[in-house]
Amino acid sequence: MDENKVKKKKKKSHIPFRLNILFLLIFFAFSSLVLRLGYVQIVQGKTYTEKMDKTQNVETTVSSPRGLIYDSEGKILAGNKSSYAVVFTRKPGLDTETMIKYAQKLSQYIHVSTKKDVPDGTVTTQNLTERDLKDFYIGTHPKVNEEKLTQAEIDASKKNEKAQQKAYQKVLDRITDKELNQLTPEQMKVAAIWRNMSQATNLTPTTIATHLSAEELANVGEHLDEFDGMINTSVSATREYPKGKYFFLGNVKNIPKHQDDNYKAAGYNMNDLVGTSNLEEQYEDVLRGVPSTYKFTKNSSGEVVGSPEVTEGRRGDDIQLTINSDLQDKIGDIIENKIKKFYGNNAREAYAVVMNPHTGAILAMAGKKYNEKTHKFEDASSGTILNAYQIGSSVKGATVLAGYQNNAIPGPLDDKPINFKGGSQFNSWHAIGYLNGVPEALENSSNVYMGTIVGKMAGFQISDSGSSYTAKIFSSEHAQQKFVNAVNTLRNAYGQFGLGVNTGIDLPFESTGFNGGIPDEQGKIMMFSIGQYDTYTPLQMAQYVSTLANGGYRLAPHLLESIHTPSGEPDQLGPTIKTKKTEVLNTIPNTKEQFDQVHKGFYLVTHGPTGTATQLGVGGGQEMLKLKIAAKTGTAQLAPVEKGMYNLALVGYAPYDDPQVAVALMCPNIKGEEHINIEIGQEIFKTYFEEQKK
Amino acid sequence: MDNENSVSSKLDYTLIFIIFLLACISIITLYFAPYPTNLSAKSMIMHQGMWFVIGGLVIAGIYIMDYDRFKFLSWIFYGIFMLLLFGLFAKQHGVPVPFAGDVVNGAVSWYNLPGIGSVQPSEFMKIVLILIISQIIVKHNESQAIRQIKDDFILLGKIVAVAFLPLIIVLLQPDLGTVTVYLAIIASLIIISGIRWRIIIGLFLIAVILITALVICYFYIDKNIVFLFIEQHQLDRFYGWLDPQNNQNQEGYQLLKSLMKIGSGELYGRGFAATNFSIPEGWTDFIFAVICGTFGFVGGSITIAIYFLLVYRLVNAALKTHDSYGTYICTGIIGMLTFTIFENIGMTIQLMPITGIPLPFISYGGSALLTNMIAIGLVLSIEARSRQYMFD
Repeated sequence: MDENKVKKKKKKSHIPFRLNILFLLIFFAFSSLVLRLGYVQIVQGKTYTEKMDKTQNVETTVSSPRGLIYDSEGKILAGNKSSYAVVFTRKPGLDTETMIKYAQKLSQYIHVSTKKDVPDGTVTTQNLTERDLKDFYIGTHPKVNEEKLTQAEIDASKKNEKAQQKAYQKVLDRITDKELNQLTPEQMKVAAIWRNMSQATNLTPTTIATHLSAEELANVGEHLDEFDGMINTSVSATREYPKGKYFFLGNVKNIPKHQDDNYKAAGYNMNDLVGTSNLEEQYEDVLRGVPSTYKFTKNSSGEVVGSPEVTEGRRGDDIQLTINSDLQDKIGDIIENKIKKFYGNNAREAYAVVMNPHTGAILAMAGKKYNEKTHKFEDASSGTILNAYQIGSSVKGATVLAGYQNNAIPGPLDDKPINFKGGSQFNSWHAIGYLNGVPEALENSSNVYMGTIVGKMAGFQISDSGSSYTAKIFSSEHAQQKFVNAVNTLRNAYGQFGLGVNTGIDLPFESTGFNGGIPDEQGKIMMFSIGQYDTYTPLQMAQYVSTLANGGYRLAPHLLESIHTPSGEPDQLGPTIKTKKTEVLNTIPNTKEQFDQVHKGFYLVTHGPTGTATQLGVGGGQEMLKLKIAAKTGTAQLAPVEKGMYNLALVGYAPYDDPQVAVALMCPNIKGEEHINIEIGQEIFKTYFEEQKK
Repeated sequence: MDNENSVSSKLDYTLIFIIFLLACISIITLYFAPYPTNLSAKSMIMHQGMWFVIGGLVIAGIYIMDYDRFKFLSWIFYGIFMLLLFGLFAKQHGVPVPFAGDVVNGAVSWYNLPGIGSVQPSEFMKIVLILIISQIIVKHNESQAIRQIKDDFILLGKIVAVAFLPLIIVLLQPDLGTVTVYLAIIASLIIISGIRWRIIIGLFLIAVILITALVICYFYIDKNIVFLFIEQHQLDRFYGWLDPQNNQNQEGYQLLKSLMKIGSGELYGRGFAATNFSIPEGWTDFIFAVICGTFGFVGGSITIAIYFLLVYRLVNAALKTHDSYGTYICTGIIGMLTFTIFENIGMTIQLMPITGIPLPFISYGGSALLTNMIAIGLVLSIEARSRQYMFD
């Protein structure tokens, strides 16, 4: 007994120690649990809460009607037209079969067009691609996998998602045209509806058909209960253009594919319509408004419960433009008429920009083009910012000011041809004779005067040789450098006026014209100085002449006048939120006296005895004299010279003692030196002041 | 008679109170737990309450019995439950066995007993293993006055011999979770059995080397060697555990949901608001996530603290008893409960891989609860009887 006890004690002695070790291990294990729990709940807690909120609530947005666009007179240029629509809200877990069933039902209640030329949003079978039809074919043929795939391929497809996609692609490839052709017209209509439905993302109310008649709307409305709450009727807004669609308004379209991510980040849905060009794009933020938010709540099983919590959005703000639509239309008519008149001189197109030289506000930017195939005039207003031309002598105001900047203005000068060593000659349109200074040089549009300016800048040696000048060009490296500098200086000087650079207009895209680089022959700098080298857009011309007119302030041209909160009345602008400020891009470093010389020159062009556009002044009768127009014409000879084709340009402003309006005009490709530019100019100035009187 | 009286007066009320607290946590949490549509919180709570009452009765029954009697009964229990496990094995392979549950995905682990419900023999096998291994150790140690190293190996052999069959058969069910609990029981008993440290450390090292070898095999030699031991879906669990974001299999998905639920509880929990976010198995294996989501870090750490108190009471009981059989039983129970708690909580917070093990006393489920209640009954019985020898 005793022995047994001793044994027992001895045996037991290891137990407390080992139990304590075990307990220590357990202590550490539990401590690690608490530590980890603290990390997950306290350190990472916020992150997980945010994550959970995201999975628990689903928020979708429905865009609000866009803001309206008014012209300077308060006329609506881009309005909203409401139309009846069918809205589809896809619930998670909706299968293809059910969706096709819904599409089938809908096809009985709404009309599906089979035509191509229908307004945006109309359901039409013409939008169906081959891929759509194949997808539809697969959706309507539950046994398609068995028909199109071998047993081995079916087995392989069950492996994972990737294999499934691969198999689907195979099925797509193996559907024949013949099978697709078996789709009846009725089925095609179902497919067209189904296609729109399948583009909807979960829980986002998506318009699948618009422009419905009241009857169609009633049809759908009566049967709403057949769609498990996924189909609803609503009123959707589409753009309408009461005065026609001016190019600067831009388009409202589906989000361009390559910009998906940008728009997604800005809170857009993929099926939202956005401004994709010109003003609609430029002022998307303003016009878009605040979308309505639909907040769905999921229950504990992840199903959506109850009706969504709706936060009503707000219609986009309205914008008023500087454009006077009447003036814009009338200028269009003027151009059309003059093209008709000069049709025999190959007049086919012309562009005009009318601008306020003190603010940069664009009053009109119109262009017309005669289509010889359809025998109709087409609106080509976008050419005012997209097409660039050699503008000829119109540029001379800038050339003279560049000359002042570089101390290259010659003294009194006899206008006679400049002969280059090597045989080429540079001359004015006719031998003008004795010129006193800048104003007369501009009045007579002397090329030789300009050539002398840039010749000085480029370091040519010009010597009088009786009936002509002889220009000597040096070929040393230093001389070459001086020439290159002169070209760059001249181009920079033009750029100060907006020629060849971005004008800063409030549109997403404009052309800057063609930059000819450094001429291959030094003598060509003289062509550059008379507007026959680089090309410029009509808008750049307008900015240039405005800068001249206002005494050296290059202003950013703009179409936006002001932003307004929506008013209750459609024809009335709401309170102003913001007015577009005049933006000075740069100033021209010339003195007032130098500008006065140019202004005088432009005045003499229309009022001088030998002016090139006296029809706008002394030659235009009392009517024209009253308008006090100062201007400069431009005639750019186009290669090949034998054809006798010219770009006829005009830049001008009025009244010359207090400029209120600046006009730039371009009539490209005219046969002969007819005065289409001057005639259009006359009409534009006249119309402008008539509009002002109203 | 005198004996019986003193037994009731020596009831460990602290331990009973701890179990009561856990029962309260269970009932409250089940109220907040998410259920699929065919289950309702009310019926779940009713059932669980019923199981606690039955469990209380079981505790009382076992407490009244002298645990020494299990020395004679444990072999019989071993035989019965092995037979039941074989029955399931047979059913799994197409042999019709009365009352055996339906085979789902090639697995079956329970019997459907009319009027009682489903019963999982592998659960009860845990207790049987504790009893039988304890008894083997006691017998072995009593017979060996002076232990040679050879004796340690013999003891080890005996333990392996008795545990091998249940381990294999449950592994084939396949129920890896329960197998790991068996291993935890065996390991804790081996540690306490007096087997030399070097053997224990040696065994531990062998296990480490084997696992390392498998890992190296998988990544550098030939994956197929690994697949002889582990199936792809088991391997996927590890991926789901280590990188749930990129392995959205069932485990990865469960883990992400669990972490989201627990993390969003933050310090004080979301209370009723937490019920909006559902997690799978929130009333059984992932009930801890519901506690943390509803009552926050405070609730979670209090629960862990209560478990720690429970283990402390069990260790206390194991130390207090002067009967080595009682000590071994307590230790086996400590091993079983601690591992289960650690694994279950650990898997909800990405500390451990996910296995299907319920949280003791809190998760919904009769078999597991009964097993744990039997274990508590045993501890109470051991404690009550240990004090008789207090001052001998």
